[in-house]
Amino acid sequence: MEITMYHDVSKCTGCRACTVACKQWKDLPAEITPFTGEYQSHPDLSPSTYTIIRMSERVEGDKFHWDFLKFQCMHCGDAGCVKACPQEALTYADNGIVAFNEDNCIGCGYCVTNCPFGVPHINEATQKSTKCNLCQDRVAEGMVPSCAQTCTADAIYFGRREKMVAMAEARVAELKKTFPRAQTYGINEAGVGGTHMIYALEDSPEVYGLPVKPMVSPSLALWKDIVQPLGKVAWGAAAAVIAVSYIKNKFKSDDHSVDYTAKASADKKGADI
Amino acid sequence: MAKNIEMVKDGKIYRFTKSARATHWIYVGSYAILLLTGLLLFADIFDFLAPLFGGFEGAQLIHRIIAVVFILPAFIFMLFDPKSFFGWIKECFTWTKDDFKFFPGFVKELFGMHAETPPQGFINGGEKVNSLLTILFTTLIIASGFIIWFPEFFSVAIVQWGYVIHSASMALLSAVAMVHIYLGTSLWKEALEGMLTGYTDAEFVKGHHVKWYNEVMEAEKKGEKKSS
Repeated sequence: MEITMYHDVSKCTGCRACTVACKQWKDLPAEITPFTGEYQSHPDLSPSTYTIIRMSERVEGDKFHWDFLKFQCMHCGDAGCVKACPQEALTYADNGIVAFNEDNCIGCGYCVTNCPFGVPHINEATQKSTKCNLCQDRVAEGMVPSCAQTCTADAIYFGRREKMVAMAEARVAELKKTFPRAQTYGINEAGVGGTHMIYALEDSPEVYGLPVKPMVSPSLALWKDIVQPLGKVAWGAAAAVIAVSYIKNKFKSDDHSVDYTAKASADKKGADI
Repeated sequence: MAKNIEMVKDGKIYRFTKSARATHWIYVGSYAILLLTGLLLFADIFDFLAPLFGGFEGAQLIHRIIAVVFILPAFIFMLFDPKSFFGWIKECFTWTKDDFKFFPGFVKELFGMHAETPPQGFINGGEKVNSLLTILFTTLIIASGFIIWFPEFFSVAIVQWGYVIHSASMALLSAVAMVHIYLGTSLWKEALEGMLTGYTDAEFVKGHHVKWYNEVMEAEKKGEKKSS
């Protein structure tokens, strides 16, 4: 069964109970961040903060907007982090969760560089990557992730993908009456194979700091699917040439000598050294 | 080349200076360690090497320490023996028709067939290619390695492409190195002594680098005349 989390930004009050519930379930320490004159408390995800509410104040015409977005791992269907990970610490679970096995992680940081959303962060103390795993342990027991469980505004939903997609689409149809640019996000984002964290947005994605066309860099496919296999082919070819050369030279007849005194070319230009 | 070193001694010719040899072997040693520690992330089949370096964490640390050593040989060579260093660089970029004509003969020689090749200089056409590819891939590996090591100074896209460059340069340089090692230790095994002791068998030099051999011999004659 494919699962999905759905955040309805129009219902979100920005209370950040999801961040707290996440820290409780994951047993993560609080991060005391300085007050910067705005409601954004935690500027970004970090090794001890797996989900935040992104808040922005926006004035459009004479209308004031508060935009909230629950930001966390998007659990992509075609995840850059999974492809980049050399140790299978990041894998796809059957239900669509991008699972993280800390024991396999070697802290190389390839997932950090190759995530189109900038989600994973390396914990410098443990030299391991960190990110939301959609409470895989809770989901396995038939529970919903702790953030969805705790949401005070009923803005975070979790369940079967078809149901979540239908809810998000219905909600966007409703929102369009008030917000003409309302749209879903994560359902049709082909550059990352669709995500298992989807949104109903009131406005275009960039308003919420989301990439309009999220895409795994083509460099990743070139690296993993072409350079690495072809590199091995190059070594095989070199080894084969060496093996054949060794055998041929071992058993060559004497008249197959090499004469380095064949007539020199006539050009005088660039005589050696 | 140092003053009190005899160019010709006991049927051997002085081919590689102390600086040339030292930097060659520092390069070889550091590249070998970088290769083994780096392979862990290149392909799963090399995972068995991890315990050698104290696991993956240890390998990453060693990779970074040795990376610094890997940068040094070029500078050591340049500083301590600029004559040989720039002589070598100049050789690499000086191409005559004879250098190009080296290759058809080389392929035949490689596969044990009779070959006729025009006289070659201090390094032959193939060695020039080996040198140029080594310089190119080493530069790319160091540059991309720096980017990967310090991603905070670069845009994400540059770091992403850095991985591609680092991997590809390593793969190609290793393939080149395999052939180089084979030639230097098997097909032209006389060459190895030159890189170890500095002196190479004169007959081998005459056979494979006759242009340079003639230059050395001419210089020797002049030198003898002067001293007598």
